[in-house]
Amino acid sequence: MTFGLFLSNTDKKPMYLQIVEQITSKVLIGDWPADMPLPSIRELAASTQVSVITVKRAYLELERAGVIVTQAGKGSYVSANTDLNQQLRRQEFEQQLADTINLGKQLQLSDEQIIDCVAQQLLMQTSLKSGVKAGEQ
Amino acid sequence: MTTLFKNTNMIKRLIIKDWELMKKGIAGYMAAGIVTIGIMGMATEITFNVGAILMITLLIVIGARSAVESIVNEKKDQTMPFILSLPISPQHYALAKLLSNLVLYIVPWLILVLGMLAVIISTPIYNGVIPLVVLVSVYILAAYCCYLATALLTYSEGFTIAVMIVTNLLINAFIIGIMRMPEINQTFKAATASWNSTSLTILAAELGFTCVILVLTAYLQQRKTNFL
Amino acid sequence: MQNYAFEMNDVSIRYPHFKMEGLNLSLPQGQVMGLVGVNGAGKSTTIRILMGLVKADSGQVKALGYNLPEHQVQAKYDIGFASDDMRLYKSQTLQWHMDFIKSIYPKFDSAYAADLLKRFDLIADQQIKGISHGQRVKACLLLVLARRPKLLILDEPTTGLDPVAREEVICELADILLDDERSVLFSSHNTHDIEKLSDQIAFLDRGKLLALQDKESYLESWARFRCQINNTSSESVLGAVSIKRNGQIAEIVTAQYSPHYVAQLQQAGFSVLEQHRMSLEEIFVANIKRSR
Repeated sequence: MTFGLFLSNTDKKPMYLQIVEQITSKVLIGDWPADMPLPSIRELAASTQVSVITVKRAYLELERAGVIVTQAGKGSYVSANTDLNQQLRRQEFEQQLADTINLGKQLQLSDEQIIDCVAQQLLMQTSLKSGVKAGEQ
Repeated sequence: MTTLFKNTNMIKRLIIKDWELMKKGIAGYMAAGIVTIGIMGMATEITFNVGAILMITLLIVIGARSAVESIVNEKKDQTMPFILSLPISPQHYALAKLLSNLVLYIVPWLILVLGMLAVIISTPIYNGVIPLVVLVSVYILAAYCCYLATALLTYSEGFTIAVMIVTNLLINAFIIGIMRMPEINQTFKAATASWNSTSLTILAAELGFTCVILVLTAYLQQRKTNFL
Repeated sequence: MQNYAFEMNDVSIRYPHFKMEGLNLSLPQGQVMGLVGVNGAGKSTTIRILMGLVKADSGQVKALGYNLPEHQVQAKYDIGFASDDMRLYKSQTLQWHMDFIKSIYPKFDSAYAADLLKRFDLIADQQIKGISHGQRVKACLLLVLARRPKLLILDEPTTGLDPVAREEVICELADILLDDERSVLFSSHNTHDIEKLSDQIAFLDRGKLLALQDKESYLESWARFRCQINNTSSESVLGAVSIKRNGQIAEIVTAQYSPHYVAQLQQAGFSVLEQHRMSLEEIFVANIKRSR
């Protein structure tokens, strides 16, 4: 049993970040509902074969991001925060946007060029979906 | 604290372990020993002499094999880290090795020597040969202790075999030497065993030498600080 | 009070061609320490001192609260040790070895041993002389794991194992993480295994401890940058372990990474194109090159 986490050594992301992202996405999808108790740090470490300190760090980050709540002596739970979903998606959007901008910089694009690209992309999507009526909530 | 954990139980375990590892071999040698004693028991001069040579060889081989197999090979086959990871100090491990080898050699040695003596007494063989048989047997025991000590202190196959060769070469000189002594020579073909001051002195010297070797070995073992 | 699985204070030992001076190494209970170093770095010496098999010339050594080498007998009841140069008795079976161990350690768990036998794909009645290297390593580990020792000391446990056997071994080691009273010290030159399982990284080279840190912050403190340089670039940058230049591109490795480091590089005239984390293996090599 690995609690449904699929960690990879060849992933460029550090192990703790993989755990943070995968648990966050489980919470986002609803596989791990609010108030669900999380496996203990040692349980998760043993089952995913990752050191205790790494899991500890992942839980700390998750707590900081508001995904989980940790109570001394009781362990960690999925946060019952109702805005969480929205908040997390917003965070993810910002993360991806930051990645995109970084990529642009590596391509030596200027700030103006990057903004132009985003504007163009927005324009294309609205024209594509104009007939269908965009379905995203 | 240390006395609380007196390690006699662990030393006993290791001796039992060595016995289990060597029992098959020892059983084979004992079978060969019985055949040899049988040959000696035919009580003709030729069979007795052939049997005696076989017996000397056998006593040497048993000792050589046990020293190499249980000590030198423990290092060579790298089973030592396994044993030393057990709850025993290297000093007690060394003591256990000394004891197990002594027991596993002295017991077969004693059985074979007593068997020989029994055959000599119960057959027409001159009992006067008994002091000679005892002196040579004890010589082999002393020689065994020499290469046992070498094996235990050096764990080197080369040194151990060198000492084996030297002590075994000397056995001929020893036999010829004591045979030439008039006190032994003259009672050799008598109907009864006669111990005199010469034979008793030699016996005492052999036993004393053996004890010194063993005590020295035990002492030097306990002073070693680096193992593996 | 912090409990330590082992403590080595100011330990020194000298051999004709090797010396270790003033080694301080300790592992809090419940943690896993990976001991990294090239061959001859002093890993095995450290482990032998911890097992009481070699007496240090000076310094204090404690394992599970017992002074070594004086009280090694008591300590070794709760220490499990396996190394890749450890062999079992060729003429005997694995079952014989299990019985032998059980006669010494009352805590030996036969049910767990039977379980491990299956998972490690071993045959109890097979003579040791007939089994492969990988099976032998697993057999040694089985004998150790089935007693659930408080401190597990493994010298190169995964060396020479095929990927499947290694996975099986790592899986069993990971199981120990469940118990917060059990600690592990393992040495390996397979930095991969150490990177995965350790809480602490101890870096040895030529008898010296180059680093001892928790793994997360250790890995985080190292980073590699690919930068573009111009004429105004300075020769060196604070905290850089190595700077390699080629044309207008430079590769910079640092052991003092923080989010401000990029700005520092920028100020020194290096504009960062890419930033990479480093694997323990890369850090290992860079660290040794730096220290020599």
